[in-house]
Parts: sequence; structure tokens; C-alpha cells
Amino acid sequence: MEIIISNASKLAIYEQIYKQIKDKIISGKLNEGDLLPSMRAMAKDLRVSIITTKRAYDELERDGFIYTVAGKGCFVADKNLDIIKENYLKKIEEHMLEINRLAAICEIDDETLANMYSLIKEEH
Amino acid sequence: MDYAIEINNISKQYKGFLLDKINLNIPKGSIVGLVGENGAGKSTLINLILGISKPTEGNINVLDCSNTSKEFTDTKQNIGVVLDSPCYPEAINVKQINNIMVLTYKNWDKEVFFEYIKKFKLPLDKKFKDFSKGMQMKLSLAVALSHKATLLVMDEPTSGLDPFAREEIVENFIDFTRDENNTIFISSHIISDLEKACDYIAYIHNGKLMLFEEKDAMFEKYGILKLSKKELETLPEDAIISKKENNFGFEVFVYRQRVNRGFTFEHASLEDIVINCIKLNK
Amino acid sequence: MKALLLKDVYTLKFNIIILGFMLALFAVMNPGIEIAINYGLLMVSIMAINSFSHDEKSKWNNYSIALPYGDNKLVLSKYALALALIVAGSIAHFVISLISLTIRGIDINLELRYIEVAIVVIFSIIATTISIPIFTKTSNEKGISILAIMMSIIAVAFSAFAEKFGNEIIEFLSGKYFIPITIFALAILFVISFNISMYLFKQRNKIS
Repeated sequence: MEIIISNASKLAIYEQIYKQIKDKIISGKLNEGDLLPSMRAMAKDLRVSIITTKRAYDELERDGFIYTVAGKGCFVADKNLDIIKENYLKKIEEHMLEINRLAAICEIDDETLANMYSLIKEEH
Repeated sequence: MDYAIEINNISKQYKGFLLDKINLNIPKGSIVGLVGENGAGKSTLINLILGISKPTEGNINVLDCSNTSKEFTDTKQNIGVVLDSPCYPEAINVKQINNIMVLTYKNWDKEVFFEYIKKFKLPLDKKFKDFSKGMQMKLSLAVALSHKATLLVMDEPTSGLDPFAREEIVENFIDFTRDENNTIFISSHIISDLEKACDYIAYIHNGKLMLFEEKDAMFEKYGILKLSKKELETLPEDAIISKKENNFGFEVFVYRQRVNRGFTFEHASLEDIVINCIKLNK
Repeated sequence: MKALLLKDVYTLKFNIIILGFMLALFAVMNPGIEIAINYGLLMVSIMAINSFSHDEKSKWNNYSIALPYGDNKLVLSKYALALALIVAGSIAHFVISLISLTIRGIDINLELRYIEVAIVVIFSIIATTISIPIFTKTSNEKGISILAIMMSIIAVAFSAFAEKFGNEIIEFLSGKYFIPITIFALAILFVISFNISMYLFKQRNKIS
């Protein structure tokens, strides 16, 4: 599993880990029932403190993305990912409405908008 | 056992130096870095933990055993030790050290030892006095890692080493604690070495324990801002720990949570933070 | 304790060889009681000095406390080392002097030889019981001076004593109470010396 930690990010390290694992679960890269690396192994591999990975895992469990089986480890939960996806779709719609509003104020046409979006996709 | 080492109200008085009422508990399974400038008391504390030196006041438990009790000799079977100066007799070579350690440690693992010797590229027949400082340290480390120890106590194991050797040694620490039963207590004045490996940082200054915190939490708790005088005035008083003025403005050491939004923090290394923590009043 | 003895043997290998030569030399020259006394005092003192000085130089003193030996063993190993050297040295001395005398066609006089060996052993043990506490306590320069002074005093005193009471001594040595009394006396000496050494050893840690 690929997790990239950046010292330069505004997010705390545990937040970065949390976010990346959550995104993988939502996007389907991690499937329900998958076993996550132990907190310890991840801490050692990422060169971070085990308290940090534990915190990330604790929050993932609190938010229902993973669950712990004593003696075995942490597994991806079978949370209804469709609900999460729906929430994200709603958020995308909201952002699009805002883009629409701002574009109208600046008089930016659809083509320019599309180009801007392509550029952003390329950079990220 | 929750703590690998329990330091209870330890004081040690020397001529002109006092280690003053240190209370510190090292959680089992963690890597704890002890930092502080030269002469701060790091080696003194480590000697007290290992029983090399006796305290003026207080007591220490290591791996659930009082370090003044008779049973402590047996506990040392599980403790790997690296001290800050070379400690083997000059005329002895690696093979002879192996022979001595076989008779010293019940769980001495010859294969593991020679694997480390190979990994660290140490010559088998050369006398110890002909080893460079880096090689001496690596040998001490090889010994410490070859008897199934569950606690490593190390006093400045990386000082005097080049960056490559230091990196290699820190890697070995990280691997050692992949097993959750293993704990490391390591002192160093090279804070950057500890940045990658440690779970907790203990900072000692002039014989006093200034702080003991989770390393990652320190980055969230403390921050450094570079500000103009005007910007400084908009900062809440209780956020400021200390400030330094230079020709171009102010450098301010702050509690992150108390700083209002809109400020951009400088990228601070662990060393930057610890150096500034000297201004904390505990 | 085997570990500690092994370590000292490795460290002192060179010294042991040199002393072996000296011993052979002494044995080949006129073996005599004075030489036997001096040799006993000398040999053990030198070895004691060397092993302690190696330990201090290499900072083994501190490190060894962190290893699972225990204070008793750390102190006792020095005595054990001395004893091993005394036994080995005495046997070697005995054998070599016999060979040397035989080669030169001189009468062996076994009883005198036994007495010599006994004297070497006794004085070596006395030297051990005195030098180990001294070196446990002090730094090596001071320790050597103190030891040299004490050994000289003993050697001179015994020579004077032997001159005056030579006959009584020989009678005693040949008598049947010699062995048990000597062993008993040496044992007491050892116990006193060991306890002093342990006390000084623990003192050293308290201060350091």
C-alpha cells in the first residue's frame, strides 16, 4: 500500500495517513475485509512514531472505515461506500455551483473553464 | 509491565553539578530520545539507569526490577548497552569478543552476531584498538543486538560518526522496535538523528527535565513564525513562548493552537523546536 | 566468571608469555628461597597491575557493570585469575627448576624444591590479597607506588625475619602442621581481602 507523507503539508502526519487510507477505501483500492498493515509496521516503514499511526487508525475506526480484531489486526469495514460517494457527489455539485457563479462574474466561458480544469488535472 | 524504565525522583550530586529530581517513565515498545547539550546530564542519567553510578536520591526500576536489587544482574541479560566511549580491551578482536559474550549472555546468538559483523563490514581478526571510532560503535551495537535484548540503552551511539554510518545505525534501531516488546532509550545531542526514529523526546537541560512529549505531537503543539512588528502585535500574548528580534523582523516561538488563523508557519525541524523549548518554564 | 577470566587471558596473553620467560630464567638460575619470594611477589603484582590498568584504560570498568556479571563475580574474577596464574606458574617453575638442576648435574633436593614452590605460592597469594584491594581503590599510578612500597616492606621484613629465625622456619615448614595452618591462614587472608575489595568496589560506584 502506498502512503506518501510530506513534512511540508499543512496537515498533521496522522491526518495525512488518515486521509490517504480513507481515500483508498472510498475509491475501492482497498476492499472490505482487506487487512491493513499493523500500526507498528506502518510506523516503521514511514519513519513516523507509532503513536501517530495509532492515532490515524483510531480515527479511521471511530469514523467507521475500519475495525479491529484483537490479535489479528485492522480490517477495512464494509461500510456502505455508496453513501459516502453520494456525499462526495453532493460536495462536487456544490463546488460546481460556486465555480459557475464566479465564472459568470468574471465572464469566463465554458471552453476556458474546461482548459483550466485540464491544466489542473495535469499538474496533479 | 507498561514501562521499560521507571525513573523515580532521581537526583545525583557531583561537585558543581546537580541532576535534579528527574521523573521519567519510558513506555515499553517505544523509542525515547534523550536530548540536551553536552554536560546537561544525559550520560549521568544513563549511568544511573544501568547501575554504573548510584543516585544521591531516588530509585530506578528497569524491566520491572529495581536496579539496586540482586535480581538486577539477571535483568541485564535482557538489556543491550552501547556507551559513548569504546569499551573493549585494546588487544581483543571480534572473534574473541564472541567467545567472551557466549559465556556472558545466556541468549547469545552467534549467528546473529556474525551477521551484524558482516553487515557492518567489521574485520574479524583486527585488534579493537585498530578500529576507527565508527567501527567501534558498530561493534558495540552488534553486541547489543545479538543477545535477544528487549531493551537497548544507548549513550550517544552516533556521535563522531559520518552521516552514512549514522543513517545505517538509526535504521537498525527502527528495525529493532518492529517487535512491540522491544524498547530503546537513546541519548544524543544530534537531534536530527532522533527525528526519524523516536516516538517520544525527553529534553534535559542543566540537570533538569524540561519536557517529555510525543515527538509528532511536538510539531502540532509548537511552531515558529517569522513576523514583522505589526504582525507581532496582532498575535495573542498567551500564544508566544519566546521571541527573537533581528534586523528583518521577529522570529517567534509559539503554541500553534493559540495562534489566530491566517499565519503561515515556518517549516521547523525537531532541532529547531527543541532548541526553542529551552525557553519553556516548567 | 569464565567470560571475565577469558577476557583477562586474551588481554594479558603477551604479558603472560613474557612472565613465562622470566620464570624460566629464574628457574634456570640458582633457584633459591629469596628468588622464590621475590618472584612470587613480583609475578602476581605485575599481573594485577596489568589487568587492572587494561580495564581502566579501555573503560571496561564501567561497561562491565552494565553486563550481567554482578559485583561479586567482577571482583572475584581477579582473584581467580591470580590463582590460576599462581598455580600454572608454580608448576612450571617446579618443573623447569628440576630440569635445569638435572641438566647441570646438581643434586635436586626435592624437599627444598617443594619448600620453594610453597614459598612462591604463599607469597604470591599474599601479594594478591594485598594488591587487588589496592588496585580496586586507587588509580594506577598511585596503586603501583603503594604496592611497590608494601611489597618492598614485606620482602625486607621477611628476609630479616628469615635470617633471624631461619632454623625455626625450616622446622615449621617440614612439620606436619605446616599445610593446614598455612591454608587456614591464607583462607582468612583471602576472605578479609575479598571483603575489602568488595567494599571498595561498591564505594567506587557510589562516587562515580
